[in-house]
Amino acid sequence: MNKVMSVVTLLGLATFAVPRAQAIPAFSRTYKTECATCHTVIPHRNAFGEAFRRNGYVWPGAEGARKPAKGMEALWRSGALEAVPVSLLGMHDARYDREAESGDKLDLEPHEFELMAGGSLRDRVTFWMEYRLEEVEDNEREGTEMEEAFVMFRRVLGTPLNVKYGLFRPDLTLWKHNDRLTAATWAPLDKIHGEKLKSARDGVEMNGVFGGRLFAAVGAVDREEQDGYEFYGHVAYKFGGTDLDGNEPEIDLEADPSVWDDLAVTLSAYGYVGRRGDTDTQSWSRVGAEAEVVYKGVTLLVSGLNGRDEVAGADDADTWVYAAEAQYVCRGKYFILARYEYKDEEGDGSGVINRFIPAVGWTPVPSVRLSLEHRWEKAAPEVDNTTLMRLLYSF
Amino acid sequence: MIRKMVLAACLCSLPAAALAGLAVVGQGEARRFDPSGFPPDMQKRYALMEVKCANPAEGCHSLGRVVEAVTTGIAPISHTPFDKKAAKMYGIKMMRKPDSGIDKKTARELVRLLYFLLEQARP
Repeated sequence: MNKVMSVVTLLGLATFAVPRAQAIPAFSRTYKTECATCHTVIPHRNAFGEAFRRNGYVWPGAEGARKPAKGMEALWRSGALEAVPVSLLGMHDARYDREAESGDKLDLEPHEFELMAGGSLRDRVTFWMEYRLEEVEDNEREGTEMEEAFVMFRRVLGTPLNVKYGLFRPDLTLWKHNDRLTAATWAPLDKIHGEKLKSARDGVEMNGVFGGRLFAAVGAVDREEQDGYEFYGHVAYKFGGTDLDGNEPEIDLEADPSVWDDLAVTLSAYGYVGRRGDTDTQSWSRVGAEAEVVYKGVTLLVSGLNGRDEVAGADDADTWVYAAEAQYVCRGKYFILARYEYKDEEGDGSGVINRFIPAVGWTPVPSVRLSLEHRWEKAAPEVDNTTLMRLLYSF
Repeated sequence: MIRKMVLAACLCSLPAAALAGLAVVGQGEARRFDPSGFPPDMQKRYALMEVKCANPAEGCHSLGRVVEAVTTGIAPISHTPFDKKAAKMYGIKMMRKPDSGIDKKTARELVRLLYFLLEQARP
């Protein structure tokens, strides 16, 4: 047994946080297509996968094209689905921390399952549900919990606008919390003075793609125990590559190869205005900008965020977060990435955190992923080193 | 009764083959075109398609999907029309797919083959 444990230890294991995923085979079953249609490596979505998500889980460019299967006409007319589009996601982590405070250097936890369902009802009303089934050990969440549950009315009144209602993560950033390849959360979405942009909230959002290249979203959030609302907005523009509606660029195949055939650049900006507390409320805000460059299998994302938080009895906190990640996906089976993050939560250099995360991964089959990542984190004077192996699968 | 059913089945399958003007062998996902009647340059392109588009080791799609798209005029996954414009779009999509092994020259050859197949299917 010790030998087995030693082998596992050598692989290096750690847990940081647990990713949500919209890598859902139910869509693959519905459309009878491969995972690679929408994903580079699960759960990271490619440009078409993002277009599919934005389009409310309706095949981009094919609204109304699907017809009911034989014998399913009545269901179709009723707006019901021919099959229940449910998928399960399983994750098993193991962490190695040589200097773990508890003394438990090798921790073969947590194990998590998520129940996910999503689809569209006659391409008009779409839905998404994500429910965590098992315990999560990250000191903040335990037991089962509804992660997201929303409906979206597509193309309202014939316009490009979609209206989303329910419990959801606001559409704020280019890289979503649920499509990252690491266990570690993308820093701009993580906790800053107690607030996480990645958190799901009850709200209403209007979003849409305009002219194929411009995406915009605005939303209002109703936080628990507050009489007021929080507001946010996000705008992004994509140059080159598959457009935001999932259409391929017009390329002259008779011409010589050009770097522009494979290059895509997306610029994005977002803002969120919130408040905490129910009586003596304190306001907080986040403003961020991002750029994503994709060339063949290489993706580079850079991001910057400024946060301002009112603090009772003290000066406002001014937070700066910078993050960059480069990843390369090879043959749809292997990936390698490196991420650097900087967070100055007080804005005066007193609480700076530097983080470097390299990771590699392999998908023996498209719906199964094994990854290994290391986190080096320096929050002076302490340096934390943890390594994590994650097995993720969905069916 | 059985004889009538067999006759009906034959009549149903005949128009597809005749209209298509393309010889199809195999069934379902294993269907493929019989390229023996293709011009030599198209035979080369068809051999290229077999390697680049339907390599099971690379997790690509079957040629049966191409057969269905060409013979029915409907792309089997999206259920959208499969014409020359769509054929070029798919060529570009696969060319731009990282590690597809399809460069611009290969995409050009494959799209030319699809144009030929579409013309044969719907002269």
